[in-house]
Amino acid sequence: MIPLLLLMVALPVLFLAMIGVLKRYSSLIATISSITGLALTLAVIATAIMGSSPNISENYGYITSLNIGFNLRTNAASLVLLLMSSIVIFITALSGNISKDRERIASLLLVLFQIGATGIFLSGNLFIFFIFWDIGVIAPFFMINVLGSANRKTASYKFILYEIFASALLLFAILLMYFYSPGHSLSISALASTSTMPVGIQESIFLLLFIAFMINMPIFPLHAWLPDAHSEASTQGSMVLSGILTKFGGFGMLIIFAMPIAKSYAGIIALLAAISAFYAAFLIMRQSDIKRIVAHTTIVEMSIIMFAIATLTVPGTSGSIYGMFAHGLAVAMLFLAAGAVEHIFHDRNINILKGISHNAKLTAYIFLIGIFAITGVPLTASFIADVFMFIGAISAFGLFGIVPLFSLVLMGAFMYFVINKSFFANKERTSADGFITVRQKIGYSVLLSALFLFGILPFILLKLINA
Amino acid sequence: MIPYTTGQEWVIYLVAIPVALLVISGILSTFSKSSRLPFILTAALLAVSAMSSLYIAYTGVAFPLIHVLQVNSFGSLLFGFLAFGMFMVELISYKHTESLQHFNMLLSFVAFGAFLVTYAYSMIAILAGIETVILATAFMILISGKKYVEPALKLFLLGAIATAIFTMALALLFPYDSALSLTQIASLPAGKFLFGLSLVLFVAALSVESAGFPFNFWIPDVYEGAPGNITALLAGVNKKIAFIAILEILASVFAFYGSLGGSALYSHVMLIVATLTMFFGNLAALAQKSVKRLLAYSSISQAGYIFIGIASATHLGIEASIFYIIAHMFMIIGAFAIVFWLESNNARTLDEYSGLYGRNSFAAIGLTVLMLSMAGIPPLVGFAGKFLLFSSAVYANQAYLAFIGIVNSFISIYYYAKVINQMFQRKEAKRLYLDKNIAIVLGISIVFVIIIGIYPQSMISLASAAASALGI
Repeated sequence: MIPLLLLMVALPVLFLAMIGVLKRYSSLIATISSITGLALTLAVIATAIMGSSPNISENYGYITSLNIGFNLRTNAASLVLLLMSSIVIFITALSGNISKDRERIASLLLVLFQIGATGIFLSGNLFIFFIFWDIGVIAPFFMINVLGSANRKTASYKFILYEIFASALLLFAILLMYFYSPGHSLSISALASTSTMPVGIQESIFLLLFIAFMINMPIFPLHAWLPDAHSEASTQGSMVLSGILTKFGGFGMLIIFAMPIAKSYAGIIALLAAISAFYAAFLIMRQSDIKRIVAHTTIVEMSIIMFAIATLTVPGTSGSIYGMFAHGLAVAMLFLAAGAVEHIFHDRNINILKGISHNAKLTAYIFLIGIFAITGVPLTASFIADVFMFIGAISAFGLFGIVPLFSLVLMGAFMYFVINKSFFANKERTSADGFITVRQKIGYSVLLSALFLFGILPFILLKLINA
Repeated sequence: MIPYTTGQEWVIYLVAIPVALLVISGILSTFSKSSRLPFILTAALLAVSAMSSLYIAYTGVAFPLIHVLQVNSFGSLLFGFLAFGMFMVELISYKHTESLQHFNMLLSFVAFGAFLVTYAYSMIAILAGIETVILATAFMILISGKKYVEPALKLFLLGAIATAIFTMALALLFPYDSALSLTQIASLPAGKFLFGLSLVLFVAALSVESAGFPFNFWIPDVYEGAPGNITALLAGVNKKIAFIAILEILASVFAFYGSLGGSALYSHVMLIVATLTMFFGNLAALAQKSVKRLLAYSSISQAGYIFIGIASATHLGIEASIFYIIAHMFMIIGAFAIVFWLESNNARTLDEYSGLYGRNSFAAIGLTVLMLSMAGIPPLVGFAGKFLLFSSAVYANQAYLAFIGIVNSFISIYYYAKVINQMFQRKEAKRLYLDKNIAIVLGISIVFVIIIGIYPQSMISLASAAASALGI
């Protein structure tokens, strides 16, 4: 039996060392590493489908004296998110670095992030979850701090303080969990059977983890790091930040809402998520930076996913998994297009940019389709997700459940306004000073076809999720 | 206390002979004109004694020696790593020290002092060892040049005061155990407040060197004032020697003294010291402009984390402290090696560190890894150590102490990120070349930090055996 899951985490380490040692070919190595990751993900999914169970686990000894193992396991949610993250990382490695800016360190950080992202979705206990969480946070920190644009220092600072605060809460929750769980088990599946602990401890663990994941997702009022971080990061950084990093929090929410105590908080969390969605949707109106606009859509989408998770229903949960999958692909495509706009026109301000569709036709239309995909227009994957999420919401909260849908409508309206103003208003035209290469075209086409494939043929993933 | 083994007493010569040779060659090397031969001799002997001491720890033999010293896995493990730390200090000092011959002699005295403290069976040996170490280090700073008189004097005076307090604490115990051996005092009269006084005096005396809160105000001045290689020695070796003395005295002699609410009295004392030390170090570090001073305050806060483990007064806590003592030694020596190298290239403040990545990428990435490790970011060794320390606090029903520790780790991110931020600024500057020796030391630290961080179990087992040898 090949240890597929271990290979998924260990092989990138090898590639990381290769980039460290070899002076050239770093971009190529990063791409190979991401392709390996994608291939292994597909192999794991194939194994899961053939074994007709998404639960695969591999256990290795780690800190034996504390009874902490190196446990890797998959379930439906993690398989879906792994598929999404490996596609996004592949496209990021292939076409994210348009201007070929400091390729060596960019590739190094991307492969480091790959280790973190893969590890998080595979982790079987909270200890290694935490380890990979921090790897997954440190790599984007440098993507902002070293490779970012003008305001990168402030943005990276904000990012690291928020995220390390989250991981501090996470660590404290892990320690509590370790001490109070029977047999000192940190296993993620043990969270579902925490009802034997004292209620106060259960509440502490739940709230600590909830706030940690809430910062990462992010949900209002702890979202302040996101617009800065996403807009100041390199294109690659923005793609993985909003495509994958925000899903760490979503994945964590799926884990903690399995706790029995979650029921008593679900209602208020759903309300908070709904407020967060509308708040972020209104914020979009005031933005003038393309990347900031896309960043705010992430908050809206993730709030709605949070809302769906808090319904605690089967369609709601499946919809949220599907939603994270669709959003990851769509937002990566939007950031790729936004990065291309910046590369071609050397500007991101929509008040200055005019007539993009004339000088960069492909990028403009890809951006438009990205907006379709993110607002949940039928035939795109987000549509399927929205249908499931709001079915869950209606069954849990009655007709109030439909209210957050209007935040999506608002978001879509504001974004079409932007598009109209600077992409398709054709009287004045900003002069183009660059072009996209075949690598970006491949990136666009892969993401586009994935979005439509899983929008038109949803049963491929649903079979996995419902198993 | 684990039972003594017999029949393998000869293994002590594996360590004793290299240490004796080290002192002899140190004294003789002052007559040598060139610095090359003394350097090779000292480095080789330090490496040999480190290896053989670690070998003794690995075999796990334990036996007493002439009522003053003893061999067990605690002493041999820690002496092994301390000797290795001194080996690293010796490497970075080569080429940058004016009179390496005299430096070598004093370093050999430090090694001898470390040997006495780690292998001690009587508190007299600890006193003698600590005194030797402080005096030798103070002279080391003094001979480095005229501008170093002030830090040398400060260290010397505080060392003298600490020794006086230590002697007073010993005197209070003397009527009950005239051998002053590191075992529980058998005829411990209940409710004797003199023992409490003695305990507090011990903690005060040893806090001076180990940077415990009210006695650590000298640390930033001396660390900043001394040359970088000696700062590495102070933070990497001297401080750890004081910690070893604290562990030996508290966990052996005062193990069950003065039970308050189920745990020993020293646990309550350490709890306060740990909290105040962490907050003092971290909050003061936030405001620093000089990187050396910042690292000095950071090393104070790291001492606070080690106190958490001692405060828990359990096997896991002592094990965690031993783990973190060793881990921090590697981190801080690596960090001060870079500081020392940049000092000789006229870069001291945060502003002068900006753009280091462009000037020398290995040094910048190395310092980044070490700082992330000190901040407790997984999968580096600092995280493994902090996880052990904090979980020991939760185990000992001191969850609030774990919480304070986590809050402090979070605060520390701010100033470490400040340095990292500066190093990765884009700036045009001419390249700097890293000396081979400093690159080696940095490489050793980074490899240790990453390898043990990813797979900490081997170190944890060693630390656990060492903690059992202390009898806890």
